[in-house]
Amino acid sequence: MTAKLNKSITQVHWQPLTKLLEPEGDKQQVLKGFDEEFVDIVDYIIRITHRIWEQKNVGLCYRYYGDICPVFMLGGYSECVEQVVQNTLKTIAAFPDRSLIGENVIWKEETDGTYYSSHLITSIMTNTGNSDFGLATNKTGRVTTIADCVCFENKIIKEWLVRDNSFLISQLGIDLIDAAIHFSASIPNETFHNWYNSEYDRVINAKHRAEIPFSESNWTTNNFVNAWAQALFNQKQFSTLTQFYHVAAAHQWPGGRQSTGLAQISGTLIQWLAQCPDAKMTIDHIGVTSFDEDTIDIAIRWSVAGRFNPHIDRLTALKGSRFFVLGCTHMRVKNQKIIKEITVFDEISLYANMIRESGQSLPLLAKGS
Amino acid sequence: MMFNELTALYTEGDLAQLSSRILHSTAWKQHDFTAYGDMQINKLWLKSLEQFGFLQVTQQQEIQGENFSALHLTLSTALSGKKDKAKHVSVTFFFEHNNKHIKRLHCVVDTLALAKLLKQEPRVLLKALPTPDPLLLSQFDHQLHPKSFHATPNDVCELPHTISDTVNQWWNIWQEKQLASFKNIYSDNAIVQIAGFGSQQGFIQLRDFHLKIHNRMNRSYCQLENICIDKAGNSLAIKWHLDGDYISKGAIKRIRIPVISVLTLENKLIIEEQLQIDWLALYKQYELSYPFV
Repeated sequence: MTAKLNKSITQVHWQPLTKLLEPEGDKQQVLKGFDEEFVDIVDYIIRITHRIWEQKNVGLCYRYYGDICPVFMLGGYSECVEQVVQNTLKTIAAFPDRSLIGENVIWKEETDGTYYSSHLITSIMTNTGNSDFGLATNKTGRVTTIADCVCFENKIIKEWLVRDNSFLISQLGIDLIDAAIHFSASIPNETFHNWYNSEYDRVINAKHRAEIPFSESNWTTNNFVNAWAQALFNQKQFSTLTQFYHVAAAHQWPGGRQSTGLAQISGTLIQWLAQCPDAKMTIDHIGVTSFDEDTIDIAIRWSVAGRFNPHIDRLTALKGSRFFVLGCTHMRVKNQKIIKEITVFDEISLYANMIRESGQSLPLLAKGS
Repeated sequence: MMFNELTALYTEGDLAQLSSRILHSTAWKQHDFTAYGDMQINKLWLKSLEQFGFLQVTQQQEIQGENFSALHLTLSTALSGKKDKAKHVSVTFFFEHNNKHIKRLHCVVDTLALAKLLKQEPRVLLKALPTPDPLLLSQFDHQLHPKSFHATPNDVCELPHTISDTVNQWWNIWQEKQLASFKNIYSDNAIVQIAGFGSQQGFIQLRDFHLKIHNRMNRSYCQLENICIDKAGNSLAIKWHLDGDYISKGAIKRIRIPVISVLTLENKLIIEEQLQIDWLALYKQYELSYPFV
């Protein structure tokens, strides 16, 4: 099915939290330069996340993040551990009871000695403080996050962070476009602009017409993922869904898009891509781990770029704006077909970036538009 | 086993036993709201205990599958000699497990029966239910084109050959609206219970319900999610949903109705079926008017 996978590494799915926090057994990976207590890279990610976020030891960021640690988000960029500490503290203040429930960690040992981890997290949190989305609502919401991290010698040295903020705010009773307008008022730093511009230019020039053939006999994870992106997102060939998804696959996309089966998944992708009909997708990183005997988990970091074709009347003024998404997807694949997919990106930042770049002043729904 | 612990939660208020089966990452979906973590899950349990706790189990069906199992309970008030006056509520659970822990559980409560049990108007009980998860339903092509693929029971699980044909015909009734199959696969004496509509002998009430629910919506479409089969191979639970355009006062809303069907078969015929829908959660999710059908 794919390259031989290491099945001795911690798997989160069925583990009680107590066992995750006090792992038993021998060290399974060398983890050069990491604290001796960590048995493998999954253990490292799970325990440091718990310590920093759930135990609220924000200062541990100094121990587990590099002094220089670029963190890429669609809503902004931070460069050093000081900003990580400050952002963590601000989020905990706005959502003081935030839990971070580790759902999965898909990892890869890179050739340069670093470890790449993709951490799927569910958070429950109550919005008791003012946040980037507006005033405190005092409502509790759930949100899915994927944090992709490059880890080296006990520290995270680079991170891509995506959060399903549109799903969160719909539980808080905040309108999506209002949140985007609110968020567009914050001005990202120059590094963000440079990254955003260069990424847009890179992705929009993706070679989208080349065929990426793949078959059952020469199936590899990389080939499968690249063909998935090319056939569905770049070439919009939705009848090829049968090559990628099981007929009863479960599909979760941002904002509460829940689909089961090919017809609904096709509808979700068509409706979403119609916002950006010339969308180009690049696959920026792939990781794969074993789940069970005949099932693997794949983590994908990807980007989409194109021009915006508004589907919401209030956004008509943004027609033709640069549409850019940083996204992450976790897939569970059985017998070469996706049986479960969770895709995460930040729709609020997507719209906020276009609003800010347009220079338009859009009216808030909350004030009556 | 987990069936005992689920039952003991509602009949005895035994939170401790069931809590030992819950992971930090367990998702418990009830009234179309998904709870994660002790705090949210305990809150749902306590509310359920207030509403239908400490009753007696008058019907129980367990479906013990390998990775997925299901439990259907009917809980009733006073039994002693006053059967006619007893009030009932049925609750169905469909859950993923590894025999030690529950990972994901979907609990569907017959909330219309619950309203009767509590002697409350449905609109009063509806207010007490948690706010359902936001759901953004995309439009899609629901048609069965010659080369399109729609899940059938055999795609979702390996059905024993003794029940395969019956279960596939059962699904055709819903997916392809093949009403003629009713008479082929239901025993004349089949007991069929529909949430909110009570229990009847034979399939006539179910067929009427089928017609009403499909005619209440345009572009209706049934999608299988999962199936679990009991080790004995004669009972199964099917998790599925029905999408459609709900028409009310000239306006159209795309809605999704989650369903769990529990079937018991004998000699290739369905002898018992529970069709479980949380109607009030549905009304709350889409702000629908009561009654639906």
